[in-house]
Amino acid sequence: MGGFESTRRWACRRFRIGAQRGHHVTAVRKAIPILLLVGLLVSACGSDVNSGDLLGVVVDPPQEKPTFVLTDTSGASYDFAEETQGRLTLLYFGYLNCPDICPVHLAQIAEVFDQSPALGRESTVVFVSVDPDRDEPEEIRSFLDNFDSRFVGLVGSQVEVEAAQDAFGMPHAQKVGDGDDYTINHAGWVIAYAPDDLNYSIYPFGTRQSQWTNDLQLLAETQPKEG
Amino acid sequence: MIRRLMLLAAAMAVSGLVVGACSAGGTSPEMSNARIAQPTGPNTAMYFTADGYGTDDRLIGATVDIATEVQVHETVMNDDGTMGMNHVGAVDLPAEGQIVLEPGGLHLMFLDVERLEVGDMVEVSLQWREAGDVKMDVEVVAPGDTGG
Repeated sequence: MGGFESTRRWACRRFRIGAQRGHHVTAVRKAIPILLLVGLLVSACGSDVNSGDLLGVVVDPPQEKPTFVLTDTSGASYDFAEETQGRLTLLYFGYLNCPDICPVHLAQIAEVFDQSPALGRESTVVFVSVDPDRDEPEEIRSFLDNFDSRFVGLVGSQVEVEAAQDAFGMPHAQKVGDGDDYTINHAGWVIAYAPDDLNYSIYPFGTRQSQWTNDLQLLAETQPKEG
Repeated sequence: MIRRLMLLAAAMAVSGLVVGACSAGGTSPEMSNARIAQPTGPNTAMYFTADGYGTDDRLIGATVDIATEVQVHETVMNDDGTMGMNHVGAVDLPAEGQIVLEPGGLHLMFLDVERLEVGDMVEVSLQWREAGDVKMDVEVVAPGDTGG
């Protein structure tokens, strides 16, 4: 499983995290102590979240929440930063014909909310479809309802969805194959924003349920920014 | 010299018998931990572990009544950190080896799958090059419970 390592590489490029910090991370099990170490170093910076306790891939320094505007599954315009302001926010770019990894993140997050309903009420989960040609809004709604009917599904044109990925410095999702049978290469990680609208951590595929439970509780405890 | 060779041959024959008795034997792969993720979209995935049974074999396909097609897929990590899916034609199962289908790696992808509930049992027919068609009943599990 190279999920943590490759996500760390992306995070390092995106956020200029010191390359030496997670250098030996090759697997989730190895990643945790390194991330804890990184967290200890980061916690000296005085952020709201004690990143040392986070079990995801820690982003240092924490990043502001960018915005993009897409359309939700009811057809309404959705400004990401505005709609999620002051809330624990989890953002995932995925597609419906992705049976192996896409449902796992969403199921894990839904499980945390089942165990802690207050956390569910305070959070917003946003799923952006990277397959505008195939994913119809009503299908996305029905897909998300399998997990939690509060999860927000967003659609847009290819250009709009790529612009949204650009806002986060993510590699564009790419079609592979021809005809209706294509698959899509896409970033398999969830970006988390605490209620202070900062991104402290990201979650590659392979994140364990216990890591989600730990981190969502921690992130929810940060206070929104004044004003 | 000849006697020594005969002794060696006898020893090899005995050890062969012993090894044969130790390996799973049988005529088809030993299957364990099979599960199907409850469908959340047009496709879903099935996972399992197969242990060798003393004969080199190869998983070449699968069929189910509840999907239009089953493909062997592998989720892979690309150089840019994105994840992709490769359509894998077949998977080798060495005589004494093991193949593990698990989330984030190899899986059977069911296309245009029917709606299923957690706890449903689905008959799946796996096609092996040597063992032929092997039928098994597989339980449907929640999408978040596919890991184990």
